Amino acid sequence: MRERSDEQLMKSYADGDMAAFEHLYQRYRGPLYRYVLRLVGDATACNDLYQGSWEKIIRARCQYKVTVPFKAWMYRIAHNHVMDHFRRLRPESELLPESIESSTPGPEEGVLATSRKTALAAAVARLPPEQRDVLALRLESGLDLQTIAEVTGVNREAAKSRLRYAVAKLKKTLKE
Amino acid sequence: MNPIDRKSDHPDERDYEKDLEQVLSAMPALEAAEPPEMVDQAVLNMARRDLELRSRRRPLRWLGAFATAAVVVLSVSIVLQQDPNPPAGQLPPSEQDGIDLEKRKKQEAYGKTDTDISKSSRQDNTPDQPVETAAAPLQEESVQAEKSVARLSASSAEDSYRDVAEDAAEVEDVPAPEEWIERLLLLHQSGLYEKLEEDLAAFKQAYPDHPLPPQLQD
Repeated sequence: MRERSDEQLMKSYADGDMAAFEHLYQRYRGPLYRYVLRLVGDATACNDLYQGSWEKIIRARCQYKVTVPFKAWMYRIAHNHVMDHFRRLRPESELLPESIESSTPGPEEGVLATSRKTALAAAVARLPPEQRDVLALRLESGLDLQTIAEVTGVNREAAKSRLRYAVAKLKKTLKE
Repeated sequence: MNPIDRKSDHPDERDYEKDLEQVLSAMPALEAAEPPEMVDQAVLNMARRDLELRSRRRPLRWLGAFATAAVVVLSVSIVLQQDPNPPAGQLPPSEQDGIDLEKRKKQEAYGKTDTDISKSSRQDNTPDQPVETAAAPLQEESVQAEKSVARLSASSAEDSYRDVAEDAAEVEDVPAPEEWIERLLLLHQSGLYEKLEEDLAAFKQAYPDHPLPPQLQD
């Protein structure tokens, strides 16, 4: 049986089909959670913001138009929700590198690799929120640069510029 | 050549893409990171609750719009049915009824007299019959004459009233006082005193200062 597209599932949910929403949720619960986690770093804050993002998606179901790709629409809502959270926080609050969950290093990975990852995580935490945002979207969403620009509310060149700056800073950390 | 393609051929662009891949591959992977079960349940419950709420609200919303539309239609129809200007050029119903009543009274009175006469003539004995028989035609003649006079006066009064009404319909104005007085005198001569009283009152209202002939002064 051919799987229904994201847009069809969302439309069905808007028409009252709960099973369609469950299906859609199973598809995107992981990627959306990881996107929010990369942005905020803290698991507790991530749970709240993740749940809040889904609440907004659910409330907006009647306004959703099938012509708009669901993935971009969903990430746009989550992006706006998290950015509102950052605006409410104090400017000096920073992402703590230790709070970012990472894969447990296996026995074959050395101490150097672990410290490299920690340094990289710390460097990511020091990035401004908008650069961290485009990086997280690039990693987790699988969206192209044009769509990432639309999700973050900027033009393609601005999105590319943010990504370029983020990459430059992280590359410097890798070299050290 | 497409400007975007030209950019990707640029050495800086190629370097950037290489660096991006390097950084992305070095980034700590978060494959193990998934939302807790409690959060999953909370989201699904929220989705279910929102569906139920909206389905409950739908009939009420429809009802409100329907009720508003019904009230508007009713109000408009009531307003349109109002007729601010009554039709002009017709005799007031009371006047027409008055004429008919007078006519009917006279006819009944003459009719009763006829009946009485015929009854009395039947009841009487034969010896008295010739005298009564002789008197009956005379009475009948006088009755007929009175009838015709009444009819004439009534019809002339009716005609005069019709004229007045027609004038009023044409001109939509109160008749001239002289003309009106003539009508009133005609009513007086015809013996239609009730009608005369009503019209006289109307005349006095329209022309309070106009002098009246002695016959109409009371």
